[in-house]
Amino acid sequence: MDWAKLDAALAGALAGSCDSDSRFVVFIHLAPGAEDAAGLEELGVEAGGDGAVRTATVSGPQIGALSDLSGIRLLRLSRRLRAAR
Amino acid sequence: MRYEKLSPGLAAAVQDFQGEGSVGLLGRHHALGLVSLAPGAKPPRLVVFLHTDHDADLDHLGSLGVELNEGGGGVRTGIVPLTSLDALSEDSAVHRIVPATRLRLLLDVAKGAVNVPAFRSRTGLSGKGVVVGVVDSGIEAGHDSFTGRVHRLWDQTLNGKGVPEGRYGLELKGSSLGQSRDDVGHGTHVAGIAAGADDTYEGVAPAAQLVVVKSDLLNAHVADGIRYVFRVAADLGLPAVVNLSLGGQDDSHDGTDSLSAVIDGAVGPGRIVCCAAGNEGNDNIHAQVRVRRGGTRTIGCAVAAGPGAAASLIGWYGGAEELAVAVVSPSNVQTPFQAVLTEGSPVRSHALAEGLVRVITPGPDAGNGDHGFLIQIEPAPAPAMLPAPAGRPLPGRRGAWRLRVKGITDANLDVWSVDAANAQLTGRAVADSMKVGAPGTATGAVTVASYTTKTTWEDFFGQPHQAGLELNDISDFSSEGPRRDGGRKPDLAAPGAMIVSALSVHAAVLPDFLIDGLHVLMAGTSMATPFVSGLVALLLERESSLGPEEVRQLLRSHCAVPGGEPGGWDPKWGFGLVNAWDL
Repeated sequence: MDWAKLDAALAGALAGSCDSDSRFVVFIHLAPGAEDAAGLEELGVEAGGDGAVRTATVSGPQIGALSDLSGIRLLRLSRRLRAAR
Repeated sequence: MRYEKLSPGLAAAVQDFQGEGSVGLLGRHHALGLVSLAPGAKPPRLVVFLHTDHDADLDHLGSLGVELNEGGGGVRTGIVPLTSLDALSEDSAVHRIVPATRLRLLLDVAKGAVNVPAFRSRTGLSGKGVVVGVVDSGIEAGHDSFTGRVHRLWDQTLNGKGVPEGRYGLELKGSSLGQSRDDVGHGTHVAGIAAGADDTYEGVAPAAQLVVVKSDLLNAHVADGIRYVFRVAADLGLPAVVNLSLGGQDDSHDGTDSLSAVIDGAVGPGRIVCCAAGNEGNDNIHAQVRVRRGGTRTIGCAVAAGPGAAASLIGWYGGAEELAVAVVSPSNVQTPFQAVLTEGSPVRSHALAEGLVRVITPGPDAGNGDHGFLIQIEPAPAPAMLPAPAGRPLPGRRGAWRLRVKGITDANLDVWSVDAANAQLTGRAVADSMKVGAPGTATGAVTVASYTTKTTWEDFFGQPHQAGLELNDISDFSSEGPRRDGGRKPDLAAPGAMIVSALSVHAAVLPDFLIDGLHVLMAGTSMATPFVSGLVALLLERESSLGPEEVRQLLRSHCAVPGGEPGGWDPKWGFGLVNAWDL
């Protein structure tokens, strides 16, 4: 696990998760030159979107594996927004 | 039946009712104060004005099912079964029966306040040939305001094979649109403001096509929704504006968060995103301190009680600066100071008597190079003998937590409470600034503050109400900028209080805000944002290749802060209230 690539919320979510089956919705920021997202499929990660920022639902072990990929720059936990009313 | 005592519209409705029953009234929701047309329910009832003899004794009308409100004089208000109109009209004390006058056309008031009707009249623009995307709680696609104009709906909450932008949820169109319900009503209301086609409460761009995403509101899925709308619009060969009446505070407040990055990458010629500034203007969710090397500063935090009322505090400071952070419990127990942790997990947990505290201090963020930390406080349950009101900060010392920071170098720190309902900041460090969170901070978005065009109204039952807002002023709940990096957000202000728009039949609504069977009153930057999205749809109809910077410049050049310098920017108003007169 390359903790330096995880934002604080994702690091906290991993630490607070007791269930190995937990899944996390994340943003995957790809490194410059790695926008083809090579390596994600090999890890079983089905990412949505295109360009430098993708979205995916992943497991804890997949987060560890993703963070070790050179083509991954940053992993951030998805947050729930609220209606602005 | 003494038809001459009935208003013309009511007389026609009675004839339709006599000929066809309740079905004959279905198209008259707009014109009559009908309480209910539900099959099998009581006979349809009307909210009416009764013009009577002055101070007439009308107690006998109770036998007809007539419910009169308090108050005498020559004009009474009440609820009348439609089946009793005949007998009521024959009563010698009753001179005239008129369906209750409904709330004034607040959306029309709002539009007029910024000259949208004049703009549309002059230009003939209606949003035709433009997609308005609404990523929200869904839409009541069967509402009269949207008939035949919801082109696609991606319900992210239903089981299905998803869409190319995300393999989850279910895409709907045509007759299948009804499978998705807007149980909240927010998205339906928002869509009505931007693009509702309604005889009374018309939206800003009533001829636009709608592409709707019912989202679970995870910001990653909102990002997928934005991409979905733009892809569907591109398939149609149409420009699009996406409305995001959503927000949060759990980000760096500088436009470098992930959702903002997606927005910045998705917008372009003919692809515009409008975002709400947020409604935290009255909340103490931001604090700002300058910490000297070796010095300490403290920020108070009132944490709510109740199940699930965990507090999350995020802090951001420069990448070249260094701080250590600690948490002090209400009984003055302090966690160790924790500096940035770059080896292994940056998470440390502390089980205190008054709750679990988690301190997370990673190295510089790869997105902006700054340091961000996160504090999570899960208060222990209150003692059984001292129950605390759920959802409120605890009185006295209980609930009074503190964040303590120590400067390893000089540092400028900004702290936010992620959820004002669970925790608000206290003390001298509290600052009414930088409360516009993502996605309102996105550089490529048009970010909208709320302006108040109406403060009083009558509900469907004739009860008067008043909102605690200043009329014709910026709404005090509207969140202040700028961004943490000094970026000017919000961009502009538009009418957001109090606004009437489409009602989802599946949503629970407080009676005070119910206008009739098809409309409801809401307020917030959520309502101001679709106002601007509708305006953008009109601009895209006129020039489909407008890009986000052109749209922002065009709108800004038609804004003004009352009493401010021309072209000036204000943290609350942005560049001011938009004026569509000569857009």
